[in-house]
Amino acid sequence: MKEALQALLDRSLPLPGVGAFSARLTDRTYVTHCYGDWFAPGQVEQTLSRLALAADSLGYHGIQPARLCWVFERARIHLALRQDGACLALFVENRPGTNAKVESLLEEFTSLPAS
Amino acid sequence: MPGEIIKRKAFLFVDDDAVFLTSVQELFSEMARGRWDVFTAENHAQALALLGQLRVDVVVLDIGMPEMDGIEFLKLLGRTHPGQQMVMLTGEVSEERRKTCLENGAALFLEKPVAPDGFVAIFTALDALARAKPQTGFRGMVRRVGLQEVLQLECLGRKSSVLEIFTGKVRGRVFICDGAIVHAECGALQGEVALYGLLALRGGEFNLLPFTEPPRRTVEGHWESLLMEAARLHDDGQKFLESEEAGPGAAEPGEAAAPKTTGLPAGEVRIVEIVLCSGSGEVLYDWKSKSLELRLRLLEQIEQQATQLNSLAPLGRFDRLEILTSEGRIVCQVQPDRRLFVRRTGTAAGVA
Repeated sequence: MKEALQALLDRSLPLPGVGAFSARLTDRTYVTHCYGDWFAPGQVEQTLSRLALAADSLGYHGIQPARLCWVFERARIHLALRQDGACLALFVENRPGTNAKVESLLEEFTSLPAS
Repeated sequence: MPGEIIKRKAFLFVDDDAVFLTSVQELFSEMARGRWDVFTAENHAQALALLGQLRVDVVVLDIGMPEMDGIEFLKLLGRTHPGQQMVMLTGEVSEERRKTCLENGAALFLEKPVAPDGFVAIFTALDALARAKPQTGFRGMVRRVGLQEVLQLECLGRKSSVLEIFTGKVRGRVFICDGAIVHAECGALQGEVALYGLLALRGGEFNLLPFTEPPRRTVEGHWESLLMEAARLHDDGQKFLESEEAGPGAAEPGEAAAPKTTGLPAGEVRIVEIVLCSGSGEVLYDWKSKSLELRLRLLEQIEQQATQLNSLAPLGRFDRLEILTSEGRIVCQVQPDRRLFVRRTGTAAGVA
């Protein structure tokens, strides 16, 4: 899956407005990249880890998320979750015109073939 | 003035202290010099019987009474005799009681006199109240009327007023200025969200008061658009209720049967649950929530998680979490003054 993911990321990114991404694979390794100095890789990975925990905790409330979007004043963080446990977070600036391509990337991520 | 017709004012004093009532009747009748009719009652039952026979200008209530205290009686009179002028006269003064009484329709909250001078002051206040020129217009009770209809009437008539709304849990106000809705507040909520929350209430009471300038103007837009939006939100809920009554998988005429798992035609989006609460967690509106406590805990948890995320990255103020599931979409909005949980089923195009 790592190769397929890398290929997907290579052909889809960078995207206007996307400041960073981080993917956590099934073997718990991370693929992370930051565009510009808005975020640092360590910061992004730590955030992804928190996001994944937060997504897990929704199960207690009877919610099984496939995708989440945390909307903040300056940015939104998209998180796509796969059945095999892998997840991808995209850190996106709040500006118009970024949504469609981000959506498409997240959808492609969730439908990547499992390794 | 020779030939002047003096219209006598009728006062009803309700107090369980018979001695006090006798003093009041003697003193005030003397002070009024024929301008007052003073009636007395020792409990709410006697008072209601008298009010059934007489038209009284002002009812003066003591608070500490057995069986039904003055505050409860005040609330009861507000329902049974809307528009009746009511005054509290008590020896048990506290700021909290004053607020409660004034909020429940008392025109004045007065302390029982302990000296003769005090009786003069009370007499003067009551006399002035009874002589005050009544507001023009009809006074009465309107039953089974929707808040939308009241707002519509006020706006169409280009009136300026404050619509005060009460239920057991909720208290809110809608400010109308020259036929435009300019402000709404409901607990800690303000603006359109407060307006929609109030218009979604299933029942309660309202008062139309003279307009006063709100602390700030938070609602913009034409009143028709605002009421239409409120009606649309209401209809969404109603459609869902109808579909639920028809049973899972039921389809509307002319539509293909929907999968039994959701009861929805493919592609149709329906709101199935709403919880709205104040920033402090007080529930303002709950629609079809199966576990209110769980939802409140979820919103609290999301707020904590957002704070943690913000400490890791410079993201700014948190607004909401949008969740896409196989069944539909959930929005959890956490603002300083409100928390909102909305769950909808059906095909959704994605999040954010």
